[in-house]
Amino acid sequence: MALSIKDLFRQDETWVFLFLMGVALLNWPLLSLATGMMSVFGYPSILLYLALVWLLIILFAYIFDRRGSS
Amino acid sequence: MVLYLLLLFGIAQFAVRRRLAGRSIVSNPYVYALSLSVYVSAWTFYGSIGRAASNGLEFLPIYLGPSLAMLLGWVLIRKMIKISKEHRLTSISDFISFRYGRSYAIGAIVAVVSLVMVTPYVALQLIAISTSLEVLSGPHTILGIEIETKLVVALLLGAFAVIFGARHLDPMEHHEGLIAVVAFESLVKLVSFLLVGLYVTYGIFGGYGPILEGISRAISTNPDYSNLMGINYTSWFSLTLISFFAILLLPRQFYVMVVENSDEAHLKKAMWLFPLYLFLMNIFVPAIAWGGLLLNTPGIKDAFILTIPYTHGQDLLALFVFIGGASAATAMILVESVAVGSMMLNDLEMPYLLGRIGGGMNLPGLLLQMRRLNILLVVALGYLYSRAVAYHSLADIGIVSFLAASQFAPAALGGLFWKRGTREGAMAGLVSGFLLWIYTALIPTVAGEGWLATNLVANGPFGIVALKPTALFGMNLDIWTHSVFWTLFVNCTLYVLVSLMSRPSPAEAALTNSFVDVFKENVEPLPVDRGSIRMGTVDELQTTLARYIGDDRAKRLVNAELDRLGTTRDRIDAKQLLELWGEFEKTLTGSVGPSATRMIVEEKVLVTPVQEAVEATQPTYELRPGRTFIIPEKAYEVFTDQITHGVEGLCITIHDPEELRRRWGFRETPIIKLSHEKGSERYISPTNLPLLFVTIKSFVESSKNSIVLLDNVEHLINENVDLVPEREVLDFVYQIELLSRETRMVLAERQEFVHLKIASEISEIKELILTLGPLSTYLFKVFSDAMLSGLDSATRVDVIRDVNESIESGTIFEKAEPMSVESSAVACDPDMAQPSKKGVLKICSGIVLNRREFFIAIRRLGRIIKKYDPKFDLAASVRDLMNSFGRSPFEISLIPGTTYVIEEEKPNKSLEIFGELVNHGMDGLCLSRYNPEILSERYGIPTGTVIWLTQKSESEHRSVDPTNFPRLSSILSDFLHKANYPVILLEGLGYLITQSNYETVLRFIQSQRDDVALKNAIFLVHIDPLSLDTKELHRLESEMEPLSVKPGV
Repeated sequence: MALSIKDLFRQDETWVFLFLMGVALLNWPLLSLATGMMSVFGYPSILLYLALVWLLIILFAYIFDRRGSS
Repeated sequence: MVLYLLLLFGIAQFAVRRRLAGRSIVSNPYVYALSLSVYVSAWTFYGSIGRAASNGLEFLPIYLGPSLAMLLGWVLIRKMIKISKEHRLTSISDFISFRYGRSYAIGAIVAVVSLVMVTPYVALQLIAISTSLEVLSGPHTILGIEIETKLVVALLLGAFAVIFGARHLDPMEHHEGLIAVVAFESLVKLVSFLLVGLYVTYGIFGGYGPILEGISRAISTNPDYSNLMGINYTSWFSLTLISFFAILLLPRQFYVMVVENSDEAHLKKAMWLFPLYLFLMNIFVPAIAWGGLLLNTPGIKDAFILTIPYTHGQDLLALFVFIGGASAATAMILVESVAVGSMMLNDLEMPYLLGRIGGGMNLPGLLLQMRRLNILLVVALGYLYSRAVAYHSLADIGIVSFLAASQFAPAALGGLFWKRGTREGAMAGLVSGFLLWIYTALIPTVAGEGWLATNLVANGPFGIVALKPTALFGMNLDIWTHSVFWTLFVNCTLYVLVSLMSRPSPAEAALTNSFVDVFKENVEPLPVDRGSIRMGTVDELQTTLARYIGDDRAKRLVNAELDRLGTTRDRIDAKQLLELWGEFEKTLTGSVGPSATRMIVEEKVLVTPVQEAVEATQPTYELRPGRTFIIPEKAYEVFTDQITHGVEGLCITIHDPEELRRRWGFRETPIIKLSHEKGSERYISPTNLPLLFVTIKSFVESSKNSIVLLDNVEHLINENVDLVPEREVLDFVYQIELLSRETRMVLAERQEFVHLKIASEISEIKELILTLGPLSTYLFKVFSDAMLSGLDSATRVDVIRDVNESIESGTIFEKAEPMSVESSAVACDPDMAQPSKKGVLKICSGIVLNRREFFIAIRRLGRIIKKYDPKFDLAASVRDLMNSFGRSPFEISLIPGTTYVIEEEKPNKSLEIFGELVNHGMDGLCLSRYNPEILSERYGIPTGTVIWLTQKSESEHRSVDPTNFPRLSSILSDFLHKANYPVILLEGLGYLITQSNYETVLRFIQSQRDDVALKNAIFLVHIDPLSLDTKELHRLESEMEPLSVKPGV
């Protein structure tokens, strides 16, 4: 089984999957888990959580740009 | 502020210069990503802070939606870009209108709604600029006159947009100056935001931590702040949803993202750059907003970003922030006015004006002026609106316009993937969505505190609480979720439901295909009636084009396109002309919009020279439906002629499909190649007769007016020799023959392959098996098998030996004419035939029988069998076979060249036999006392074969005076001369005798008898035995063979 990032991003389904994951991660009920816990290292967990998901979105698109194109 | 705008002018000018010098600074992915950031307008620049300060995290979905949308960039946005480039669509209204059959109504609705939603939005930007300026320096006065900042800004921006946003006639050409400025401004607003963020966080508070700690404490102590860290999941979801739609469908987003995209690859970088931009833009929003709260900064919360540095004495920083905010506002106004301006021109005004402009006007100039006027109009409306309202009443206008853009989503995004979406469905969805949007979102937001607000918004219309705009039917949600739900729910429902109930026109369906399948290989080009440009010339196309884009450009464009196609004005062929036509339509779409293009192309008024009305012209060749034609040489020409006049065609060929398409300009016509190649539904193996038959059958059944070209049967037969049982080939050909009754079957056979007298052009033939090539020999084998099957094995061997001897001596097949010397030499090689295959008839495949020879051979075979088996009944043994191949069982017993007399009181049986023979492929002529209509109805005798014996002169039917024997004779001999397999029925003998006398009639019959014998015709004469005396009857009978009419045969 050969895994290839290039092939992965070539498929439309991958993007639809990532999109739906993003929607799920950024909405109720997963979001309520983050609001529940109050703070991590003095920072409200909700802010850290949102920033993390957001950066993940950026990261995936970045990997695609870097690896998927050549 | 003015200085800043002048700087922008400089940047734009620089970008345009660089572009002209060939080194574009704009065509790169970073500028593209930055230009997408026109999304961040003054509403978000200032509004985010305000929302964060009053509603907590609720500002975030506005940015999360677009970030998520970028994940679908490669699937969704790339498709939008591809389609728009392919068809030169320059706005969201073009885009939607094009998808639904280039509908004017839909384009116009989208354009109007865009204008409605953009006006308050632009107003907000202007107010934001003036309000922020007042925060900094109070009202401006020059020489004692109060200068209204908004007016100055609006004027400058209008001028700017006109200069850099409407430079070219072709809006598809990129506006580098505009994009350069937008990208630059995006950079300015980001930097200024980050600077303030850093200043507030680290300069004032010494880090993010203290702010968060402070606000956490405030949340627990002050109930006003309790909602800052919480999330309302419902409105969170709806805001994410509408901002997702907004990033794709807002006029300005569509413009920068799709229209100004110069390379698909740029999208790839923007997919992560743009979310990153939004992330950076937001990283300090909580810090500034909550910092402002903790510092008890005065003034409205939206202005915290400005007031915090200002109150801390950082005037320069405050000024920079102001510049950032102004950047956000101006960029938005610029792009929005250009985008909405051009969609108003293309989809609202142009189609309307088209029918009403005179020929002499300078259209290209007018178009450009109108585009500029529209841009100014958008800015002016925004300015006027901004004078009428205050800032706080527009605070939520961004969401309201996002909601409006979301109404485009079902039609635009649904139409992108769902082919069944129709014009009617899109219309229903859009209209209902917009009306509900106005009611549930626009009115409650902009109503202010006037009469509307108190009466309608607060209590519902006429005091009906159930219809309250923000709580329809008592639905208790926040205003945005409420509006999102109702508008999109009704919009989507109607879009799907009405779409399913309506059927698109063929033109709309074709557009849909080129839209949805834009990434598929070999997408069929746009359907253009090939005939409609056959008469047009390149020059006429150019003249039409010149009316809209100017003489020089039209000429340059046509020349360039001709070069690309590698042809010249004189030598252009149909295929190239079509491509030129496609380019012509696209250029027009780019200049005047899709619906106007449709009108130009459709309305013959404006393109008379090009649009020679094809519908009015008749096809050169007339082919009656339900017939089979053999066309040896001109088959493709006749076929093309038919399909360009509205007949649906199916082409089955041995030639290369692409070659045929090019040569004959077929566009939609399916072409199937008879080939052993695999892997495509365009190939069918010639040995797969069932599949071929099913293909033809399903095509014929799907169309009411069709033509099938089969090139050719000879190839099929040759390919199947020794592979497929002959019986199967016969069945196939016979089924094709039956199918031809529902279509026009054109066979491109060599003349040598057909044993009939046929013309070199078009010959209509009645049946195939006994007409084409070796099929009759196949049939003979099948028949002989059937005839021999009833014999016991000993007799059978004897019969076969006898028959084979007869075949060798040439007494079975009358004139064994081999198809060619070569094939007969192989097939009739005596060494290979016997003795290994004892008990098999030695029929060499080179023998070709025509219909008459076939039946003679069958009869001779029958006689030989009868010699050995006296009980053998020829007619009975082959009756089933005759029926299964559509032959009349009578034909076997009627010997050509013979005159038969049928004695019966009424001529029922005679007419029945005649009708059956004619309907089974013989050429008939019936002389009758009956009205042809009655014969046709009762016996199925085609009226064309009947000659009515009557003294009345008849114009509708062929008739002849019963006393005019010379005329009768000449009719008969004419007929005998032309017909291939003639059968004649004389039915009104008694009447003829009554009208003249017995002797004359007898002489007439005698003379005809000789002709009939010479021409191998079958002549049937009906006599009522009771109407003649014995002697008369006897003399007649002696001239003819009696034909006993067995009941039930």
